[in-house]
Amino acid sequence: MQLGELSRYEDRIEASGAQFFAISVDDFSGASYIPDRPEIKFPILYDASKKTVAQYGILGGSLPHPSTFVIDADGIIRWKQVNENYTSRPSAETVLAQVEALGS
Amino acid sequence: MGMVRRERALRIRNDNWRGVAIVFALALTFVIFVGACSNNTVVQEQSEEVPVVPTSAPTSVPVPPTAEPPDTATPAPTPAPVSRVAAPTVVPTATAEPTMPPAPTETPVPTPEPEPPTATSVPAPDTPTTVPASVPTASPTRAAATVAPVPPSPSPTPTVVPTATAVPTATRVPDTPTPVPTPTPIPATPTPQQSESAGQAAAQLGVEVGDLAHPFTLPSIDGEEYSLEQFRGQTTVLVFYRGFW
Repeated sequence: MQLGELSRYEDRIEASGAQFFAISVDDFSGASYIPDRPEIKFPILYDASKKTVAQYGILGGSLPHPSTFVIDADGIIRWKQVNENYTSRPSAETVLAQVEALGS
Repeated sequence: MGMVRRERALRIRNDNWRGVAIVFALALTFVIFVGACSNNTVVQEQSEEVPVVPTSAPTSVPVPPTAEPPDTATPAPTPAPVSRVAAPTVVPTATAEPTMPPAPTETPVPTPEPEPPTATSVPAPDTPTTVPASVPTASPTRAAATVAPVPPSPSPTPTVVPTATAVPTATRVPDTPTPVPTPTPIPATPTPQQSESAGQAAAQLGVEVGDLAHPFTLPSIDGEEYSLEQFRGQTTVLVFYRGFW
């Protein structure tokens, strides 16, 4: 699932009532302009210390594996996909299907 | 009569020759020596001091002989080499050794010495322990000197400046303890962190479907902070990515 792909599902994301976050380990502190900022409306967080990435166990070397976690209203992880092979990623359709299955 | 006079005259001349020859030889060696020294900029100052003796000699020289340079040339060489060898060897060794060698040899030695302790950190623990324990263990005089400055101001740099050449080794030792304490606290902090990360690594394996998601508070590129707890009661999707693709 590419962030750009998600940007085409803004309506469905909003309808699902789920809160999406994009999280990178890039350090954007002090960055006033981000050249390749994706066209997504949900917040883009950065984990410069990589602490959160490590906590979620997706740190492969110095970079996180592209991963998606779906967390329900009780804070329980209900679905996850960690793509150590970054060429295979879940489609936005798959993720949205999981989110919509949870309700909200 | 004439013969006796001649002999006397010769004797006198001979005696004069010897003096002249010696003076000449001295002058020659001095000239050679000055010429050799003029190439060495370092020794020039010393050569200026030496001349005082020879310069007085040449003035006395010119008086007697005028037509006897060929004769003086033969006797001159014998004393000349002797004085030549003696003068240069004695002068450079005596003057050059005391001033020059101590500076290069001592300065390089102290610098390598303090570095190894910092790297190995083995001597460092010893010195701090001796310092708090105060004087008795180490050499009394130096230890007292070094210990005294340490308590008032932990930075020993002021003591290094005033102390002479021999002291730096003693004073630089306290330098190593000060850097060492900082490393030791650092390892102390990492160890808890490592244990934390180890616990986290154990927890990482447990981050599976059905587990409670790790709480986090992260800044957004728009300058806001978001924490997962804020979105309890709402489905949340975390999309970790490496770049914008």
